[in-house]
Amino acid sequence: MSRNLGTVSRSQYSGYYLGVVGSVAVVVLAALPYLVAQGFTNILINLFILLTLANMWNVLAGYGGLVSVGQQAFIGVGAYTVLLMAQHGVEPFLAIPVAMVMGAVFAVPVSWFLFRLTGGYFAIATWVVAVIAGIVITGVPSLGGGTGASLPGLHLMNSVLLGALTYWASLAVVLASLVGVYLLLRSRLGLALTAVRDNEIGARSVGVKVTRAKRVVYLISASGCAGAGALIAISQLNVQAANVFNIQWTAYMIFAVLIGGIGSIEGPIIGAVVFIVLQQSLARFNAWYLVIVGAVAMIIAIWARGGIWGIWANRSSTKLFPVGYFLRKPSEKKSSVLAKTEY
Amino acid sequence: MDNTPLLELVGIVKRFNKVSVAEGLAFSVAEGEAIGIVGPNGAGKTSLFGVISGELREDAGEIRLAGELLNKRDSADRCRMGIGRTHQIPRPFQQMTVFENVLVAAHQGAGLKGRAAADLAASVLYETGLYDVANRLAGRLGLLHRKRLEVARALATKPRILLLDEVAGGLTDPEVDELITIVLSARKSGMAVIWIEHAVRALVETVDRLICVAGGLIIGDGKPAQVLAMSEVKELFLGTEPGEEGALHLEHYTSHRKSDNLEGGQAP
Repeated sequence: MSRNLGTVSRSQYSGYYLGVVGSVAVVVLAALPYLVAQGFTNILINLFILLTLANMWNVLAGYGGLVSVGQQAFIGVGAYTVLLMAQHGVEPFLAIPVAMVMGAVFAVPVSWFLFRLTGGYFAIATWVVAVIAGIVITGVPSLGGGTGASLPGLHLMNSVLLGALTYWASLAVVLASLVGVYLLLRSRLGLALTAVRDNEIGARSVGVKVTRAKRVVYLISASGCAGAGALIAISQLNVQAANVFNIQWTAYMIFAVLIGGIGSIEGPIIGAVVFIVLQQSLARFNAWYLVIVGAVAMIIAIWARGGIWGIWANRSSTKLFPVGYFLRKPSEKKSSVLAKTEY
Repeated sequence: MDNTPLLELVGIVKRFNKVSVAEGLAFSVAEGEAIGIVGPNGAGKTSLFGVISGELREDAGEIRLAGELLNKRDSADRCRMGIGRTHQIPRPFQQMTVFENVLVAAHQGAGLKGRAAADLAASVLYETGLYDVANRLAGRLGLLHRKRLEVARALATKPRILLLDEVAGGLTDPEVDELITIVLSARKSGMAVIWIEHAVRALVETVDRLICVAGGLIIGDGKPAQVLAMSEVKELFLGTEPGEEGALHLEHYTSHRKSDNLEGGQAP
C-alpha cells in the first residue's frame, strides 16, 4: 500500500475503561456475599441465570437469526447432567462445566435436524425437540421420572456457605457467557455474524458461510443454556422435568432480550436487570405483575423496536463493549491518545 | 493456458411459475472483459445475476468459473472463488460502520486477516470515495453512498469478475461519472465486469461488449454501437413498452431516477 490510510482501532474510546470498570465490578460482585444479606444475593443468582439465558438467546436470534423457542431443551440437559453426576458422587459445582459441554454435544445432532428448517418451522421444531427431551427424561425412573429428584450432595452443607457458593458459581457462569460472547463478537467470525444479523443475503454475497456461522452460534447458545440449567438445578436443589423443560424459561429470555435490545451485548444486560427489577418490585401485586410486564413488552415493541439499548445504538456507533473496528485516519492519529488497540 | 473463458454460461433456463427469465441463455466472459447488459424491466437481468452468484437455483444449464462447475456451490463459495456482486436494492449492514461493511468482505470474500484485510478495506474505501464516511453507520448513508458501498463491498472480496446491478440507478450525471471512474479503475487491475444498467451512456463508456436480453433470450450481443443499432433492439425499447417510457430508456438514460429512488432509497 503506497498511501498511508491510517490504522485500525477497535473502539472510539480506550478499551482500558472497560477493563478497569469491568474488573472493579467483578471484584465488588464477588465480594457481595460478605457485604449484603443472602436474600439479595439470591435475587442476583436469579438475575445471573436470566442474564446468561438472555445473552445466549441474543447471540442465537439477534446475530444468528435463529429464533428458537426451545432453548429449555438445553436447560434440561444441563440440569439433568448435574443431577446424574451428583447421583454418582460428583460435587454438583464441579459438574457445571461438564453440563455446559453436554449442552453443546447434545446440540450437534439436534442442529442436523433443525437446520433443514427455517423461520417459523425452525421455531416450532425447536419447541418439539424440547418437549420430546422432557418426555424422554420423564421416562427414566432413576432420574425421578415425572415427579423429579432432589439433588444429592449439597443438603449437608451449611446454608450460608451453600448460598455463597451458588452465588459465585452463578457469577462465574454469567461472566463466562458474557466474556465468551464478547470474544466471539470481537473475532473475525463475530464480524461475519454481525453482518448476518444485519442482512443475511448481503452477508452471503460477501462470502460469509452463513450456515456454518449459525451452527457455531447454536452450539455456543446450547452450552450457555445448559450452564444456566445446571445453576437452576443447584439453586433449587431439585430437578423436575416439568420445571426445567418449561417453555417459560424461553419466554423470560426473549422478554429480557427484546426489552433490552436485540443484537448487541449491552441489550440483554439491560433487559435482564429491568426484568428482575420489575419482578421484585411488582411481586406483591400478584397477577397484575404479569399485566404490567406484558404492557412494558408491548410498549417497547411498538415504540422502541430496538429495545432500550437500541434507542442509544441508533444514534451512535459508540458501544460499551469495543467489538467494532474504527478506521483512524493518519491526521487523527497524533491527536488521539486513546487509541491503544491497534493491530 | 488454453482459451477457457473466465465465466461461461451454457443453456441456462430459469422460470418463475410460467414466467421465463432465462430460456437457454448462453454467453461467456473472457478474463478482464467488461460486458454491459440492457433489456426492458422484467427481462431477467437481475435473475441472471442471481443464477451466476448462486442466490437463485437455475432450472437447467451450466455455470463455470475458469472451467470449474459452479452449479452446486452456494453464493458464499462463489464469492470466495471470485464472483463479487452488488445488489440492485442495496443491502448494507445497517448497524455496522462503512469500514466494517467493507472489512467483513475483505475477511470472508478475499480471505484476508488482520492488517492485510484492514489495508484492503481502507484502500477500497479510498478508491470508491467512501473514505470520509468510513466510521459512519451504513444505515445512515444516502442513496449515492449506499450504491457506492455495494460496489466497495464487492471490490473488497477481490473478485475476478464484478457483477454490477444498476449501481448508477437514481444517480445524477456527475455521480454516474464518478462511478464510471471507479469501474474503469477496477478494469485496469484486470478485473472482468458485467454491468446491468439502464443508463446506456455509462455502459458505452466502460464496456467492450453489450448484451441485450428480453423474455429470457439474448436479442443482441456485440460491440455497444452495433447492438444499439440493431433493429430488434431498437424495436424492443421503442415498441414493446407503451408510450414514452421505452423510448426514454435509450435516449435519456436518467429517466429512471424517480422509480429507482423509490426502490433503492432511504429505508424508513
